[in-house]
Amino acid sequence: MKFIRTPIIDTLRKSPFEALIDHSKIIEEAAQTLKDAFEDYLKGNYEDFEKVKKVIEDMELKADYIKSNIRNHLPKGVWMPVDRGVFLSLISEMDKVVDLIQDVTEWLSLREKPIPKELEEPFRELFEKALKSIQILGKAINALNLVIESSFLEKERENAKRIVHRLHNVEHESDIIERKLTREIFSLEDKISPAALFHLTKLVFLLGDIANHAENAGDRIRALIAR
Amino acid sequence: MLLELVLILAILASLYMSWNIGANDVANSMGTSVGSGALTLKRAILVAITFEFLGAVLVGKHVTNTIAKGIVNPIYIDPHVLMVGMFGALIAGGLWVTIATYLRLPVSTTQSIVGAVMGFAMIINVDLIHWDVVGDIAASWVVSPLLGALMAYIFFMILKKFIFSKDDPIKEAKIVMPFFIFLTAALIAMSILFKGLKNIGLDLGLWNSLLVSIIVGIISMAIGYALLLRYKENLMEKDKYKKLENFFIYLQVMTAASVAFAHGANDVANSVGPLVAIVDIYNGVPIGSHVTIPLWVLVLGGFGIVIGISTWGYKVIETIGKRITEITPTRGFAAELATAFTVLVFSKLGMPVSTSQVIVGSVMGVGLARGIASVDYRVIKNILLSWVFTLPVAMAFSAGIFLLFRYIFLG
Repeated sequence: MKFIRTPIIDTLRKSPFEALIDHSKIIEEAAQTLKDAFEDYLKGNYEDFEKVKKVIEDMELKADYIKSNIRNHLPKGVWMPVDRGVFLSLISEMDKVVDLIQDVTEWLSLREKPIPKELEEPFRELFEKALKSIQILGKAINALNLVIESSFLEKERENAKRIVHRLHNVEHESDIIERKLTREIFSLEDKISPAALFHLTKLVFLLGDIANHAENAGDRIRALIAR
Repeated sequence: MLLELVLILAILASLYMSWNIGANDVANSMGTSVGSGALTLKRAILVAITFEFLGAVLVGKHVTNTIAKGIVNPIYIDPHVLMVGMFGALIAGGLWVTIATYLRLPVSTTQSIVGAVMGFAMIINVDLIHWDVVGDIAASWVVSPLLGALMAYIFFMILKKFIFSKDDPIKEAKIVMPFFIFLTAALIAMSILFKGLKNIGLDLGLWNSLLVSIIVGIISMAIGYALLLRYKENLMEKDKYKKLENFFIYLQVMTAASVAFAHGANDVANSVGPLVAIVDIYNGVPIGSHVTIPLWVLVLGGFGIVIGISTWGYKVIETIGKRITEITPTRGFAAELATAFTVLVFSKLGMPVSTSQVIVGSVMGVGLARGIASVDYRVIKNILLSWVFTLPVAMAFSAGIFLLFRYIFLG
């Protein structure tokens, strides 16, 4: 509308923190979808798996859109109650988590063959840990939002820090499973094809990396709320 | 005959200026309340109309006096020249504000009219300008947004310390808020009573005004407390900070009304200030004498503002309300209250300040208290730019129009 001269209209911008919650919700959803789809993969329902792959791709696009939207709306000169640079790097860590979910899906679909029975359970555990780390990250993002809403009340900061600490624990647990599972895969090297060995070890690596980046995102959150 | 013509044209120009002020600047007070859903558009208009009018009529005379008699020394000017000059200043101020508004420049009507009044006087003789008064005004333009920021910072910190951090913030708010209601009501009462009602023959003096203001404050506080106790929280809402925001929506009606009142008190002068000088000359009031501002002129200004609000202002409120949802009710409360206090204090001091710029300062103050998720500081640059532009442009317009009018009316 023309005929407006009120400067207040140019002063306020949409809060980027709410978009961050939307972003983390999509990651959680994608991770849950991936974990469920892995069951289809184990059962050999590759058709169903391919369908879910499309769904995850859409989710990644949606998350990407939110990410660039947040970035584009934070030009220099916009002041935030937290460090702008750290905030942007939090988004890129979260973005890496989404990318990894998509990578795992893509990597699974490259080679649709049965996984040795004895590896099924450890893989399930690793998927579980990846999902868990993302769920905790979602909680940490909500806690960050409460820190902002309360304008940095001490108890909200403590709460957020506690949640971030849990991320470290989950990452550590994920690491242990990752190492154990890699050993188990190599112990089967005579029974499985080199292609299977490569496929499975890289899958472990990709899954393990999810918790790493979720942890990194947690560290960024802690840096954001530091005084 | 010529005097009548200038008077009538000046009344029309003044009405246009008040219309403009009502149309655009009212969004400052009502935008956040409409945005947060505290008021429907219709109710916001009603509150704005009532309080802008009351502010203009009851407290408008101090700043009006500054614009009419403070900036230019009328003693050494031929009354007819002064009359034409003030008329030209109204036209010049209105013209620049219209152009700038169309271009979406964040100009202030206050700065336009101050520049315009200075502009024609400089053509006659630079020494006619009371530079000390101009200096005070310029200082008030710097100080007022800073004071707004400081007060908003303090108000928000008070909310944080005494309400936010508590386990049951709404319960605490019901105890703390009456104090703010007292403060606001007492300040508004004081601004009306102290040196305010001489024209109806009521001069209370400092202590009596203070006493009555405190009584008014206490009564308002009691009414406010009773109303707050009736507030029922929404049990569906789990986030306790969101609950608190919902509670504050109701309090924003009070702060919005205060901003409207303060705005009316300060900005009515931008339209009626030059008119008062013209009316005085028309009535043959001895130049330089201290007579009270005719009440009908303030009523005229208030009326113009009301027309502006109801014919165009609602559109601006709606547009701004949609975009201003980023400021939540607690933050809006602190920023608006700080704005109302600051503008009202400067109004009592007779200093024409820009309400728009004070509210920007106040929002920044809440931002500095880490209360707002993102504030665009580039707006400060735009305001400074419009500052730098407005004075010379309004002066030049006014000077040019003055030369033209002097030729037309006085030969």
